[in-house]
Amino acid sequence: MTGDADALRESPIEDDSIAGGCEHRRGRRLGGDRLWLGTGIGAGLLAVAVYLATNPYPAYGAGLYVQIAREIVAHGYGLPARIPGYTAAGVPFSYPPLQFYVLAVLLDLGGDPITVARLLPSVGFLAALVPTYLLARDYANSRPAGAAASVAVALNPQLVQWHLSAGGVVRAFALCYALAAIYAGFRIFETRSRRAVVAGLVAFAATLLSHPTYALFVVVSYLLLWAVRDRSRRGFALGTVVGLGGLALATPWLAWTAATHGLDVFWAAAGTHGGVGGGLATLLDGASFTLLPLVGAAYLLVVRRDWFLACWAAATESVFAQPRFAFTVGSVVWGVVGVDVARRASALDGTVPGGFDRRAALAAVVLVAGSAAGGTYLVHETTLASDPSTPAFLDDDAVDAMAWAAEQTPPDATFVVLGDAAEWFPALTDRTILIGPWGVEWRGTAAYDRQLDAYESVSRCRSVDCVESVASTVDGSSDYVYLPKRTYTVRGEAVAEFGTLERSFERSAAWERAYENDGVVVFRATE
Amino acid sequence: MNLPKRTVRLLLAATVLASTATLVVGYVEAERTSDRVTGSPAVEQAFRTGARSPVVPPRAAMTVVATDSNAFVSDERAAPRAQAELVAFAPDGRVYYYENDHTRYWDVDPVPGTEATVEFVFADHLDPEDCDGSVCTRNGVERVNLTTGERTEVFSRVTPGKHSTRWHDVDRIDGDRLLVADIARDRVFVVNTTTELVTWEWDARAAFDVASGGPYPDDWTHLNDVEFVTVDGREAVMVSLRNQDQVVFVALDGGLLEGWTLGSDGDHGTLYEQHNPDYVPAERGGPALLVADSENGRVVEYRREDGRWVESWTWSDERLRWPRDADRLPNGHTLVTDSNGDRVIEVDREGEVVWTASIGFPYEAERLGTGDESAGGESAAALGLPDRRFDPATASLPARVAAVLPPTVVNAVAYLFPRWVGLHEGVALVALTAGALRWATLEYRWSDRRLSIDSPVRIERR
Repeated sequence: MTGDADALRESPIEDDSIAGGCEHRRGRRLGGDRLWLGTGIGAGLLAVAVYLATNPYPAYGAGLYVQIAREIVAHGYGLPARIPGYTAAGVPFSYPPLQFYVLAVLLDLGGDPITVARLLPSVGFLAALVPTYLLARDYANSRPAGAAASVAVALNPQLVQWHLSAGGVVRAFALCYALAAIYAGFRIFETRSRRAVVAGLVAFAATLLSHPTYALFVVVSYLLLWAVRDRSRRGFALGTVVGLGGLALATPWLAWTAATHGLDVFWAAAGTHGGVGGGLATLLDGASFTLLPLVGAAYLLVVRRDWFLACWAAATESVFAQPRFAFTVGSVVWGVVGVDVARRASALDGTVPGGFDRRAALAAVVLVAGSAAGGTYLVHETTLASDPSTPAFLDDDAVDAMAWAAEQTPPDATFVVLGDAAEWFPALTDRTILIGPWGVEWRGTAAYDRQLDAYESVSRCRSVDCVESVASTVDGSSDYVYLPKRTYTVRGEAVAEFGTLERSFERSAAWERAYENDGVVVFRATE
Repeated sequence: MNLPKRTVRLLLAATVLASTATLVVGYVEAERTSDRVTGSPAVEQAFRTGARSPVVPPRAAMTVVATDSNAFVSDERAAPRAQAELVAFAPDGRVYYYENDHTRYWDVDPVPGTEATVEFVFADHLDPEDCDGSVCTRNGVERVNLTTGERTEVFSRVTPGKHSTRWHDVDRIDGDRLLVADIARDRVFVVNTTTELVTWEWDARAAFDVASGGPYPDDWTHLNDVEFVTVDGREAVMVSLRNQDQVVFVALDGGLLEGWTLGSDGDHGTLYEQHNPDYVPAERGGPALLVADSENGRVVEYRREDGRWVESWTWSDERLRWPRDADRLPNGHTLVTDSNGDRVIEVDREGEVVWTASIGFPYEAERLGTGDESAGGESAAALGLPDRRFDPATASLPARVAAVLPPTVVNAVAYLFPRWVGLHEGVALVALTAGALRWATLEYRWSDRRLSIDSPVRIERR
């Protein structure tokens, strides 16, 4: 890195100014980290409040995670080899286990799985805003830049979708650990701090033990930090210490998994969920908001010769199919862009009434207004009938129907469950679903694709023939079929249903109505 | 009047802000209520919420509607007019059946001898890997029981391209044979669905010059409707050539029935790019042709008198825009599909609208139990139906403006115009455009900088 970016890097954080090297009369200091970090956390609390207010049930699913945590408790806090309930054969347990242990403890202490899945992700998500703030603050040498980045992360609908939703019991914490590791990496390559090495090592290990994709995000970030900003042998050695140290801490789990399932299990899963390098497909899809990080990075490359942010944005855009990584990087990028633009605007020199620095005061106003606008947008999006960000897989009727299944059906009963409630079904009923992709990625791409295709097809069936035909492509016929009424989701996408499938089952001699409420009807096989 | 710069800036800023806010509020409100359709949003809202309460007024029998999509770049748009659907409304007004599996839905016909089974024509845009790397479409016919959802694939073929190659109509001749309006190849053919053999074919080039109609071969005839009919005791095939503004009758020996053609190329006073003509035979007060005269914005009927077609009935109202189907029902009412008016309506013998289902961009509708299309209806002349014409003088301002513009322009705008833009949003759009342009020009004039563009190319003599 050269030029202005170097100048930013080398100055300590002394106040909240975003004036950079401009010569002008500095105003009074407008708060310290408490104020600016508080702005980011405030935006995070707003997102959490919107999420909780609009989601009486958790968004998306965490049924498999709950089932894993229960199996961990059942194994005396040892690792289970298989998780029952998800397809006839169950699914191998090869996930990084750290967050499942956290979940296991909470459930063991009496936590209700649905409540835990609704509330716990918020903790990880809010915590992730701290390293986001610190990274952007130190990178731009500006507290408002840190605040801007943390506000942007907090209110980004994609990041809310993936981290406040039920799966956030794993992903929100993985994001927090990953950003902590990356911030530590930034400090390592800037200051050679031993404390940063220790913190980076622990945070990277926690990431590795939580979610492999976030661990890859850390690795990519470290490689770029070293290659673009450092390139010294000493820096390489310190980065290697973090990498190997994290790997060492994760070795017991890796060794157990390799011994139990073989190393192939990792390659089997790597090709699913878009795979590594899947971001290129997203980019080639054309103009979308995911290109914004690149736009900001291009600006900084031109005006500041900032190669790191350009490479970081390009790498996350191309390596990860999931845009949430690009948006995380983009939040830092645009925080830095905001500071740069403000620094160049000479009209912002001077102070406002009260003697505060005009740029800092403007930044505070923009961040508060931006938070209000972002929060309003989240309210809008999450209360749409087709809620694209935080659709709930469960509702009262689904929970009642599952309670019936848990009490009134034989323990070895098998179900085909249409719609995303299927993800929760085994965890809430202790019964087996025959069709569903969750956890099947560990059995390989072919098995995963087969289950995913079957699940999506059966969930959109409108006749009993269709359900039976699709079921026969995977694990055969079930004892029960669970049909949602009115609207439900399939992979988060809303589907409306007007009773056609129910009528079809009613007219079939092979099935009889076993249970019904306003939102669910369950048919039992008569043969 | 010379206002200070500051005042001008404030006024322009207020204009831009207020008009932007009006547009944002209008869009968000429409998105939140699924109100992006002309008329009542109840039906479109039910498609999103799965509501099982009545959304249209009751009728004696079920009504089935096939909807088109105005998405022409991507097939993934979620707006009501971009969603292609097959929908059935129960007699009590509830949504009875809904599917949106295919890229487009076109003709829908009841299956004789069933209570609630229909055959419909669909088009699916295929992925490039299924089309040798290019663009192609699977056109076909499916049968679905609206009560149980059981479906049967009847017949399909892949055609190249998509925009003007999607089959719009197929008519069942008997248990084995289908009469297909092959828009992709400007022909009509009969196929035996058991043997999959084509047993009869008529190519429009046998009777029409390629200089007529639309661009040859891309969208020459836009052959959009066929019907197997009996004319003067002879079996014949009625064919709608939209781009030639004509309905022709083809004898099974391949020749046109002389004197039976309705309309001529460019004679827009008779027909203007029509859809879905229905033949009413002599025994039901014909011979007559009930036609959705689309670009003319009317439903029209012609009757044979002294060997000529004579206009015998016409109907339109202020909302009717680009009708694409009209069926005469056994009770003398007419079921009209109003594509850009976003509705299916039933017009009674007095010309009053007695039933409306507002639904995004419908293509064709059927009332079950009344026969295929106009099979159970009599001619307007036999029924003594009075004409009803929309009178621009008594209409709203936008309708009066539309009445003086060329119909193709009005229909093109209506095809694409977002339904959430009402009067307020329209005014805001004009104010925003004018305000922003004016502000930019003034700021440029007030600034001390000037833009100039030098040609990067200079030619000099050596």
